[in-house]
Amino acid sequence: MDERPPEITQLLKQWRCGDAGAEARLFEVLMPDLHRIAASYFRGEREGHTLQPTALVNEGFLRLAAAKGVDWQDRGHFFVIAARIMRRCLIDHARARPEVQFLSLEGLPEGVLGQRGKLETALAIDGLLEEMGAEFPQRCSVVEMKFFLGMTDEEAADALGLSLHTLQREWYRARRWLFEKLNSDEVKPGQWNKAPNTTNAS
Amino acid sequence: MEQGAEHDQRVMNLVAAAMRLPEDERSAFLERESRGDAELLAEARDSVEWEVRMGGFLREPLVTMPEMDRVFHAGQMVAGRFEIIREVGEGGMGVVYEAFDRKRNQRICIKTAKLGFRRALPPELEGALRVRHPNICMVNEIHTAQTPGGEVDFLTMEFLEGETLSRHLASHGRLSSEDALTVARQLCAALAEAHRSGIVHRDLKTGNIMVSRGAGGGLRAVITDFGLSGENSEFAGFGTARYMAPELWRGEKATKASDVYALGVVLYEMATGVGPGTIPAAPSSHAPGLGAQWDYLVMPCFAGDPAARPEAADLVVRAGRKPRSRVPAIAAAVFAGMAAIAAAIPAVRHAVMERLNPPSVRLVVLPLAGATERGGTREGALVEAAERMRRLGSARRTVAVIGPSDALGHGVRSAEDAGRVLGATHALATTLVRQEDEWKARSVIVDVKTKETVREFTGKYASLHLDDLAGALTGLVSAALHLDAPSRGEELNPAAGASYLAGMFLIRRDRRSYDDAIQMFELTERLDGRSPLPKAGMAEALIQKYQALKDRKWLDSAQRSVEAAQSVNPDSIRVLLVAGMLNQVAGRYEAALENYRRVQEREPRNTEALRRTAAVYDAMDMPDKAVSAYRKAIQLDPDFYAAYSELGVSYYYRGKYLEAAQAFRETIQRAPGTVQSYINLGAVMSDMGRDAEAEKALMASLRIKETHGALNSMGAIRYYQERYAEAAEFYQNAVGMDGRNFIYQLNLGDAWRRLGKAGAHDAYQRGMELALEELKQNPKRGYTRAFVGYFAARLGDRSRAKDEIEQALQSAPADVKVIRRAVLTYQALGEIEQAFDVMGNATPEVLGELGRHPDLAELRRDARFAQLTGKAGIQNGAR
Repeated sequence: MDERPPEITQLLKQWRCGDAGAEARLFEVLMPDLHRIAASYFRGEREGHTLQPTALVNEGFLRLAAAKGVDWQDRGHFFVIAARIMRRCLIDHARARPEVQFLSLEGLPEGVLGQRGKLETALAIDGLLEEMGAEFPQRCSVVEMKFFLGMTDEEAADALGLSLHTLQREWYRARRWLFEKLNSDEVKPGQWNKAPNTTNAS
Repeated sequence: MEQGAEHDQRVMNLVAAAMRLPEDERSAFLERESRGDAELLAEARDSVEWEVRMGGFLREPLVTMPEMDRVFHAGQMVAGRFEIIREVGEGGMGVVYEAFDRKRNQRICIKTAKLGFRRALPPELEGALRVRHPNICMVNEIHTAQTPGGEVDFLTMEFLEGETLSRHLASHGRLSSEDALTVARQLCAALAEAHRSGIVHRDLKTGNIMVSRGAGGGLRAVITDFGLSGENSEFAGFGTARYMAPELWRGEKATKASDVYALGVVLYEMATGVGPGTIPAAPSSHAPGLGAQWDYLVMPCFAGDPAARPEAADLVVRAGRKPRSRVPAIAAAVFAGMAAIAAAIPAVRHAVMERLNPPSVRLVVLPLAGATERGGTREGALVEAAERMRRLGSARRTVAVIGPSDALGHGVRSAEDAGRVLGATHALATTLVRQEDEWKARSVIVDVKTKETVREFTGKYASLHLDDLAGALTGLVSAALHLDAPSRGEELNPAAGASYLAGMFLIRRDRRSYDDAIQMFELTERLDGRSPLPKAGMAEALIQKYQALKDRKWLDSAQRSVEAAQSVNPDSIRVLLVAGMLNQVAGRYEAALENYRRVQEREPRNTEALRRTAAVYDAMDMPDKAVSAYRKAIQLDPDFYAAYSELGVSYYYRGKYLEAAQAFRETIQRAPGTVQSYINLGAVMSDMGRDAEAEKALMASLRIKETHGALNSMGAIRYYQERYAEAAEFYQNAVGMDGRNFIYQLNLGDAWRRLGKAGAHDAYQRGMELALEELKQNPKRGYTRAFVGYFAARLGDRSRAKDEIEQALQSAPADVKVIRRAVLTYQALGEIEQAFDVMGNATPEVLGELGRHPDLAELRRDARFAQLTGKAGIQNGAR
């Protein structure tokens, strides 16, 4: 069908087998495509129009699958990488256009929300993820899939090859880790209050 | 801190449940539900505290919650004229969008398949476009859109206000009797109109009906999705099982009559607010406001025989009739209503009466408390009791009995385990306490669901007379669960009881204790030469010995024992079953079928005989008959896991991986604690190249129990990933647990060959010896012969390899495992032409699997390979 070598499939396979160099190479190969797709969505953004990163990555996957012969079996692994790329796309985009309308991070405790814009929160989390990734690479992928890509628990568990409950536990641990970091004084001295404890009865 | 998935599950479930409670109830809830597990309690408490503190922190994704698998998205312009407004619903395979047709300036609905499902709509849909009726959703046209994933068909339909009937029922409960009658008339009329045009819906359910209230306050119901569910898969309807007519469970095609059955269920649900269940009670018994008219309208739709169901047009007449006078007492009304129907329509009588019967029983005879794998007479009494209880199945009720050895094998020790692991409905728990010369027995039958004690029993037995306990327990179960009395002609002299029970225990515990069992049965026969039971037991022990040692003389001895048992009572079910087993093992398939046919005549609701029949058809290479027998067994008791599991294995060996995977999932759903189902699912997934899912299933199985099967499958996954060292390690562990399996030896040989290890030759050699031993016993089996061919090829005996493979292909031309092995053998021999020849007969699934096999890299470079898989792809798409 296609005479070009299925490079992405190869790279995904190497990456899956623990070849760190493959990840960098995958980024190189995939980034322009996904970024272009993402950018086209951002450009078309209007009032009240919401982004759909998973759909977007899915479409990215389909395009690449068609063009470069990526195996359907590699979809889960593809999502792990794509989530990381999407995180970068969104963050790059946010930095470039600070007025971008991110949706509300509903339920964020008042103390946090009052002090920080949503964008700022996203940027802060992005920064913390580097630290988290060094210690817990899987947990970092969980945050990318759940927070940046908006996957359901089932989808993320499937992509990472975890049981649903293990995924949920990892997600909880990741949120807690980030929450503690965000609320500690290291991030931005003076700006962060401890989360209000008044509603906590137990 | 890492305690694995099970621990995660317990913590997360506790936390999730606690968070749903009001704050002041959480602490007490956690304390109660952690059941004294202090660590679990501390962890859950800590998590809940943090969840409260974190609020919804990061719960909402940075950008909106998107949906996967979508073809279109909001804002998109499709086919140059339809603007997608939003997604309004989704089914198993399709997504519905609200859209705006710019050309016609109107709101419409668009329906499309999800990504990964069929992109093309079924051809039978053309017919559905022709039907016009106010209560059928009008389908305008089929369009095609270009998407990055290729061409996608979609439908444009009339936009319907309102909600689905299933959602309406969920939020409002049952319809008022006035509304119910209005909607019933509309639905009956709509279905009658479609049937008049020759259109079958195939997937009628409350989720496919839209209801809205018009300006006048009346309800309007519209049936959607006519003709949309094609017959692409035998399991297409499994998602909506409760609407499925019995014949669909048997694998028959959807017809107008099966639509009528489904309509009956819909009408039942909207009028009563509950589903009809396995044995529908008359609708009027649920809702006092409903007249007997409803019974008259709905109940005949459930006739087991499709021909006995009314036509949709008849239902229009029935729904239109004025309610007849009320029958006074509800209970009387139910029975009178049903009896009246039964009497009025003879063909329906049987179906209705059958539905009056109580539901299936799946009874687990729990091992004695503190039981281990060792045991004897006492455990034997329970084994024998289980054996006798299996015979209690009557014309009224399907009974499946899981004996204590099987229960122990699945780690089942309590009634709760029995429900959780094996999906049992009842459990029989027995304790035996020694009191001087006697055993004091106490037994309870527990309803697993309600946890209530159905019946209790205590008795005292002398050590030598413990077989009386088997009899007593059988009687207890028979009386408590309203089963027929045990059959006669299978009595045993009390003096022979103890040794007989010990023998039964030994043959059921494992398949290696045959020598001890034979001794026990010999002793029993000396004490009672006139009972067929020890002779039947002896025959089974001898069959086990033959299967273990593969020496023909034990088969002959088993034959003599069966004949001796037959001379006492040829029609004893126990004798018939063992005769069937012997005939099957000896390859006398017709005779085996005859034995099981007789068992079924005597016990029409016995799934065991059906399942064994299916296994014989499998051995005869008659897959259709096998599947049909499994389906009959499933139909008798849709909630019992065993038939699904065996059906899955049957599909698997035919290369029908999707069907097999589905059947194994059904098994796991019904018996989530059985190791084998996960192993099976893992094997299929791995063959389909879905490694992540395969690994998940296999690791789940290994968490329950380490088995050589799972280790071998994990090895295969690593092999396909070309991680040969890891593969070899898994295979070695598998061989360590079971050194007599030639497949494990073969796999180990392959992995070592890949690693360039000298041990490969030895492993192949050992595998060859094992395969030849097996072949000697059953020379007709092409499956084994194909492996002999492969071993010969790897050991350098080319002419033998070719010869054996040719013979194997001749004797089992449809066996995908033989085809697969033949391709691999020809590849090993460098006979590429012949490899392609054989591949011409492979199913798409097998081709797909071969397309990933590391040993076939050379073949894949050949243009013919792409041609073959390309062709298979087309076939696959048309399925």
